[in-house]
Amino acid sequence: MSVSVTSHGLRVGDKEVPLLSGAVHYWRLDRRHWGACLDAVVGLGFPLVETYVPWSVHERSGGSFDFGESDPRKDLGAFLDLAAARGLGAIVRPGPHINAELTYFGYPERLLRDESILARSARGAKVLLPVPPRMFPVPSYACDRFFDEVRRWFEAVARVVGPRLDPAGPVVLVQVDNEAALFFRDSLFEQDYHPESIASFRRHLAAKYGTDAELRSAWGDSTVQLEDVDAPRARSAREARDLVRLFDWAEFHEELPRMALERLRAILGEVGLGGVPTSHNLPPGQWAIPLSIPALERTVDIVGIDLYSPRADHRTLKQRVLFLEGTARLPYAPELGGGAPPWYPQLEAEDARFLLQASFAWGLRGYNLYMAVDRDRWVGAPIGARGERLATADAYAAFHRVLGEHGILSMRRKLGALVVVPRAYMRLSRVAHAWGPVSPSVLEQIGIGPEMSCIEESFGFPEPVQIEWVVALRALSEALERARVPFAYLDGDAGSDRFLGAPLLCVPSFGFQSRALVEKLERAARAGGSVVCAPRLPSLDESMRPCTGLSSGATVVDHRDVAALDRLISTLADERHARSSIWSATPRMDVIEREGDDGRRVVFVVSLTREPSTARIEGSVSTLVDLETGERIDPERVAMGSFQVRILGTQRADA
Amino acid sequence: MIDPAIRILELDPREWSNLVRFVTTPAPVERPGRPAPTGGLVLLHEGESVIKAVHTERGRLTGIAYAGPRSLKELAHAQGARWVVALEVGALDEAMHRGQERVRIDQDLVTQNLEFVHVVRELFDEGRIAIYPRPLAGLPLPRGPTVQRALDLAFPDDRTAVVYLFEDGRIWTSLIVRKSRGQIDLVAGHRALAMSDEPRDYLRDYPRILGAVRARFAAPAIGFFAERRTVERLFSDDRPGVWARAYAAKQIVVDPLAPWAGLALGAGAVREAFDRSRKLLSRIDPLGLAQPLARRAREKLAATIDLAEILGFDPFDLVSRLRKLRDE
Repeated sequence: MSVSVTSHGLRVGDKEVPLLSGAVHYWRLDRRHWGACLDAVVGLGFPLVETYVPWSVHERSGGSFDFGESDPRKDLGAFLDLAAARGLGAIVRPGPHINAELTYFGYPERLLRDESILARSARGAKVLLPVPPRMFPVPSYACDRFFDEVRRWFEAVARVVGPRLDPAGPVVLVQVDNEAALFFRDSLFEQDYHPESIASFRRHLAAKYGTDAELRSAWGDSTVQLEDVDAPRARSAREARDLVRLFDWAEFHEELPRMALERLRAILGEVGLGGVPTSHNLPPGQWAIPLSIPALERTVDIVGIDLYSPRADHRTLKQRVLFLEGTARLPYAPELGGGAPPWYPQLEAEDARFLLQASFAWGLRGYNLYMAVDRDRWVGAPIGARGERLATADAYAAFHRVLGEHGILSMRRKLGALVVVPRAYMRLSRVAHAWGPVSPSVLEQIGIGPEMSCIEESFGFPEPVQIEWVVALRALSEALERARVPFAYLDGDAGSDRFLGAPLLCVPSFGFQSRALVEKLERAARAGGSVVCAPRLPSLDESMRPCTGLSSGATVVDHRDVAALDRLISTLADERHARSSIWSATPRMDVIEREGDDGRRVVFVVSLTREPSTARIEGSVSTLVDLETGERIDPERVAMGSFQVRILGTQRADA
Repeated sequence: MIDPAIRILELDPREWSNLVRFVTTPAPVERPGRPAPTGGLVLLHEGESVIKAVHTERGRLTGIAYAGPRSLKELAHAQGARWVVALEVGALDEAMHRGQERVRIDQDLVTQNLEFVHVVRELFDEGRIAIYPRPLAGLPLPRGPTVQRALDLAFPDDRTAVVYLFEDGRIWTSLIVRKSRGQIDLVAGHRALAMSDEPRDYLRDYPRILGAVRARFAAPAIGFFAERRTVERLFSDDRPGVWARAYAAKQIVVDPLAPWAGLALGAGAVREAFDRSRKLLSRIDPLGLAQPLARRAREKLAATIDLAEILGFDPFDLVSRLRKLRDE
């Protein structure tokens, strides 16, 4: 394979290529303007262009496909050749699910009229996706016939894209499907009860438990057997032991899309599209989506989260990016909003600029601007549909120039701590979701987390863990911020090696905890890491069996006692030299330092307020220069506009 | 009504945000002597036991008691909420199930939404969902074909509707909508007209905007042009006839003047319907219940003949109920 993934982009042949791309939908543009649009993408400083390849657009009746033979706008090959002629690499996303604000999300309508292919609700109904401009039933990602159909589509795509894979052509990355999170119908008892999904659930249980006796013991049910066990269809848990079968279903909810992506990736390989790395994008959520980045990274090479937060949601955005930084192989946004669909909350120009720059300040190392070129059903791209640069274009060009000239993408924050996000608690929050079919992940996208979306039942624990783990997570994060310890979030599902990445590990910890996570924390503690559990050590594992790990390897603190928490974090930060060397002395102002292997360093200053203000930077810093304007900056007085991000070159005071 | 292949072209983000905010932000309600309650309260209950309570502005609430639908008004006052929705455990699942059983892929989006509205009405009637206030109780809900007839009456095929609002010598928001074969098939912003000379004045520039719309898309069936501040003032003015007077004084331009618009101007009904729509839309709920209601309120303006016969309900009764709600 001539393309590989690095920690900050792609290596194509012997060349490092930043993972910066602009989305262009060729089939929605007048072909005469393709060249001008691609020129404008180059002009903004993107080395890559990205496009979906929509099944419903290319499929003709009778099962044949039009890739430009009839309609010149559908000539994907010519579009990719034009990109190559301009030196652009290409990312293609052939779905099968693409959304792209297309009616039926890019699936041919005939497919959605085939009842045998459709996902099923707990009561056997089709599962409806309520989106404009028309609601439609979603397919089952467990159905073999669905994958047979997809294979025919991928074969058609491969005939055009296969010959254009690097090094013969410009295509350097293929995305497998899109936001495979059960179509935002991800409440635990919404889907998928398709017979083939139920059969897959039984195989999942058989692999996990092996025998009927083990299953019966785990579920506390003497009647179930692996051969014909049914999936839970409603929440009926009153105490901890009742949760086990629901956890198994929640785990399968994550496994179902992962297995689907594995099948899709395998098909891509079989049809001749396996010669470049693959990627996948999670929808804009972090705790509520039924997908695990570490699990998906065992299937595809790059897993990112789509980012669309407006300025007002900067806390959510920061949390999401810190999660990517702490958890993902390459912190990447496969879609970062350059505008929005007309029926969603709008990203104004100032939102889009802040979203981009703040995301990179907090740790993003690659992105795809969605959309770079304006098109039907989109508002706010920086390039018009005829290739003209619109008012917002210059900001992108300037930002890319600074990223490139100063090697910022390869610079890192020195992390003093990782805040571990236990996947078992994420699953419990999905189990305890209060609002039925209203998607937990969609609620999370708009800032409604477990505190507002979960029932108050404690299931026999001292507190409702499904809510309190988020409170503990927030308390730990805030304590680290007060102690000036740079941190990121680590998914508890991540491999052991990731737990060795920081001197301090802080973990929400209640009456139960995943046994695998406990073992990883124990190993980290033995390797010299300091583990902080809040508010107590677990006594049960996720199967509600006794679990007594961590008893000597962790420090326990009650996160509700802020003074005690601050004392502990402060002491550990000093002991482990975990504090940042520079920091903001101004409220609602973030200062983030990054350093490259060559010793170069930059400071991002992020204003988190609408009012213009002055930031004061303290610590070991002497000279600052604004990398965009060249202006010399006094660290004591950094003028900041409304939600502005400034990138400053720096030297240490002791240098 | 909404073409599944609808094209939405060249909307300017600032103009589009302005329009969305304009339509969805309610005018401030002045209540001398006491602070107006804000936000809403959503309860999930099993009998009288509250499983979950959330205030849309204050977040998670605990210790809330529920004593049945009749207690909602008192609950709203006690919790400082403008509205309360009480959901029996399983009611949302039931709504989704019934909706999924009824909605078909070949139905238009408005019809699909109406199916869900009917389901929710059923659950109201079964006592599984309760809401306060409920000004539209008992009002017959239209079906898709009824709404289609009203739309066809108001907006002929192969024509466009045009709205431009200006502020400080530039376009503040613009919208061009086209209807073909009974369906809205195109929505566009001003940029789609590719006019070399940017319009800056509603009164001076509206004829050439209309000309450009005619040349690019289709002949306008109605056009509305004004300064944003003028329109805001008119919507907040309760006096009868203010719209008609503004029209006569060319403070607003309605050209072409569709017959239903003339009737509405004369009746002073525009403000009432639009103001109500904005309040309802401002409470956007996950099922989108408010939007069909607001849309229906606007659609009541569409007829010049017997509206009750067309719509299946008396629109003046609706206006009366909305006025009562607003005054509460």
